[in-house]
Amino acid sequence: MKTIFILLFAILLTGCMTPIRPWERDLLAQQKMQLIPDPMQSEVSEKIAYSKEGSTGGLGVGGGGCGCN
Amino acid sequence: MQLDKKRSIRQALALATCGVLAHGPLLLPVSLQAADLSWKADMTTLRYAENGRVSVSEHIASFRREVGEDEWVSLKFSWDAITGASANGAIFNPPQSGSSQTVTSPSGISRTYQTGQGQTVDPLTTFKDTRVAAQVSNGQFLTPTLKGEVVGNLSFENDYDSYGIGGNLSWDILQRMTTLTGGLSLDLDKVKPFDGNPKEFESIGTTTPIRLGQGEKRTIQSIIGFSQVINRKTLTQLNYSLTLNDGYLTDPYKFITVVDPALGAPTDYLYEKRPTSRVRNAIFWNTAHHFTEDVVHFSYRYYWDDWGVRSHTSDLRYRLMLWRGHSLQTSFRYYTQMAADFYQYSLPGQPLPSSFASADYRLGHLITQSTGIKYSIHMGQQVEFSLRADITEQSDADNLFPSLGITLFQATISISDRVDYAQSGRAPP
Amino acid sequence: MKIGRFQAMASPCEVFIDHKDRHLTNKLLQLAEAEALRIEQKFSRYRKDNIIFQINNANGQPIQLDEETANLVDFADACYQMSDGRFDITSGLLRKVWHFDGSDNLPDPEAIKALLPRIGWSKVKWQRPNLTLPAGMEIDLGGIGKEYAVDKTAEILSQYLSTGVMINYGGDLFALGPQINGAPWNVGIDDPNATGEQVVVQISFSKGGLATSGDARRYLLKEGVRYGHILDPRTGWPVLNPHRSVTVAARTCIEAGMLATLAMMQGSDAKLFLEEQGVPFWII
Repeated sequence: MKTIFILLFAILLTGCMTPIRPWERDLLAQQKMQLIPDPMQSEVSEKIAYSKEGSTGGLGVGGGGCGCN
Repeated sequence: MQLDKKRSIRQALALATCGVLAHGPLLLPVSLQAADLSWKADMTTLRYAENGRVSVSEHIASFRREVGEDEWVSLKFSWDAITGASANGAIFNPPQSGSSQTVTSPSGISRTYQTGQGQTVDPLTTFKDTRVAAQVSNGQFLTPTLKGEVVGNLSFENDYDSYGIGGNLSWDILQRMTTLTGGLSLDLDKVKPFDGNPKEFESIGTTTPIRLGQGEKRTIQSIIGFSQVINRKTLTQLNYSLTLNDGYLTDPYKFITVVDPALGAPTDYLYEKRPTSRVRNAIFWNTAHHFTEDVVHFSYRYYWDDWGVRSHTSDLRYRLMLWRGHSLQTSFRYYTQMAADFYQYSLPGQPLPSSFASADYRLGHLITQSTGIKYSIHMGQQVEFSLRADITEQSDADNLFPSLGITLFQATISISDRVDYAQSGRAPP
Repeated sequence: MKIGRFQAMASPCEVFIDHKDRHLTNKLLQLAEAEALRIEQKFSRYRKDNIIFQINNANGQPIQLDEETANLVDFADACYQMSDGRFDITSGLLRKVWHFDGSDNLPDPEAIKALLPRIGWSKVKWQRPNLTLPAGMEIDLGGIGKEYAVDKTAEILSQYLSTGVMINYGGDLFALGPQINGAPWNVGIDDPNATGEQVVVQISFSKGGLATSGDARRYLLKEGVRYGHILDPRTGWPVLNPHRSVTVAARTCIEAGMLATLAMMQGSDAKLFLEEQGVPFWII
């Protein structure tokens, strides 16, 4: 847990240093650079993991339930 | 010109210009006509097959459209069909001697086993089920930096219904370098196997079964997180999610075997029992990085809950950009899970009524490894087509039950009306 | 990056659009060209089918102006006031006697004097929306037409894009934002001594208007005195020994152009004038 908080701080710190200009957002705006670049694949993978494993969560909320067996 | 007049010329000019350029090139309000509202459609179809077990084919269609300035609506329909059989937790050993039995292997030809008491049990439960689901959502920019969305979900299958609503907010701060996100959703599920839910810990072979009708499961999911732009090529995200389950959380199709410790042979098969509440936590870290052309995504999730289940999930995807519009993505996922407190491969005797027990392998000590590749083609600026294949091996870390092999094939097509950078109605700032 | 090129208002016109959507880019280039040609058609003094022709041939009768033309006339009126009469859209008649071809052929002073009664905005009756020119007078919007076209084009394109657009109509520029990779637009100022062959100064700009007032080869040179092409309508004579080239950056192209013109009219005081106004400028 502690490592995660240290990581958090490090990320925040590096982020706060130099804001990037609006025109430097060209790469970040691309579909393939989104945190979830392919929602259709992501949704399917999440549902399979939910059905076959005991874990859930982390990605988002409200995806709908199923009686996956 | 006099000196004082000189100073005010620039201002006088600016004022005069206002008359000529009504709003000025940079201040013109944008009024969108129907033709300017963008839309996006995605369709996917997949075939999922477990080795000798369950097969699923699923189809999902999703459509999203801008309905005004900074507002959009999306609609999604899914349809899936599941056939095949799943391990239900019943185990049995080849008997030492004597009694009448048939072939006794989980993946064998004939799958029934007769106990001494005349019970027959199939170690696999067969499923044949169809599911239809719909999701509708509406989102908009409440302020130029605050995005909100509400979502509604419905899902129906032969033995399970789910109703859910949710909402999320996304707030850009610090010159859009940081985005704070939060979400909440509520789900109400109805668990309704054909003849009603069984009484927990009741023997499956009993001649007078007690059936408990429908079960209800309530879920509250919440998530908070932030994403941070590290530099022009890197974006990272950290989320914490808390999920609360309440109600009927037992699986009505799963059994647990009572094994006589002396003989080592199964003596009874009981319906499993799980607690009626569950508190689930996850911390999720996700990073995307752009190389010269290629993109890599790496994520890690640590999960823990009050049933004793803990897991680590690592996911790495590398997308190799090939010639014009083509790309190949390879992915690896590694998952390890520590068993629930009440997970037991078998019971040594009749359980205490106040305890919990489950032999559902999905609550067990698992290792899952997946490898996948996906080939994508951009056809023009607006259409993307991709084919994906994934192979997973799920194995028991204690080696008490055999590994399960899973293959997945998925084809997806995405069509958008115009090049839509970040799936929002807003051009990049 | 796509560059649309066309001819309008007697100048080579370029529109730079840096945008990934090729379909939209082509559409916007078409819109830009259409707007430039529309303004040319409407305000050119060479045509016989527009409002300018009506005004200039009204023979003393009032002409009712449409919204857009009335706005431009209001603007010209304001510029006349703030420049103490140096900027005057009725001064176009002077082109009949002044021919700036780099030679030493100064016009006959009598000819100039003969034109003066027909020049002067104060003689015009302007009561919006009616404009009455005394017979024999004419108006010429050439001094602001190109800059106006640049700004109007930018106005249209800004409905679709907020960055990555740069417009250059014959040296009058406007940028809606830098290129999408972040780089500003690079503009070179023409060497007045070698027009079209050399760039003297490199400017980088990413937003706003940029206009140059320069004589190119439009001057007369006699006995060591250079007569610039910017004429003072009050005297009928040009500014003496003006700067060869004055480039100004401002919020819009029309403002940049007007400031550059007014600066040129200051003659050797141009630098002082522009410093007073607090705008970026380059004087060659």
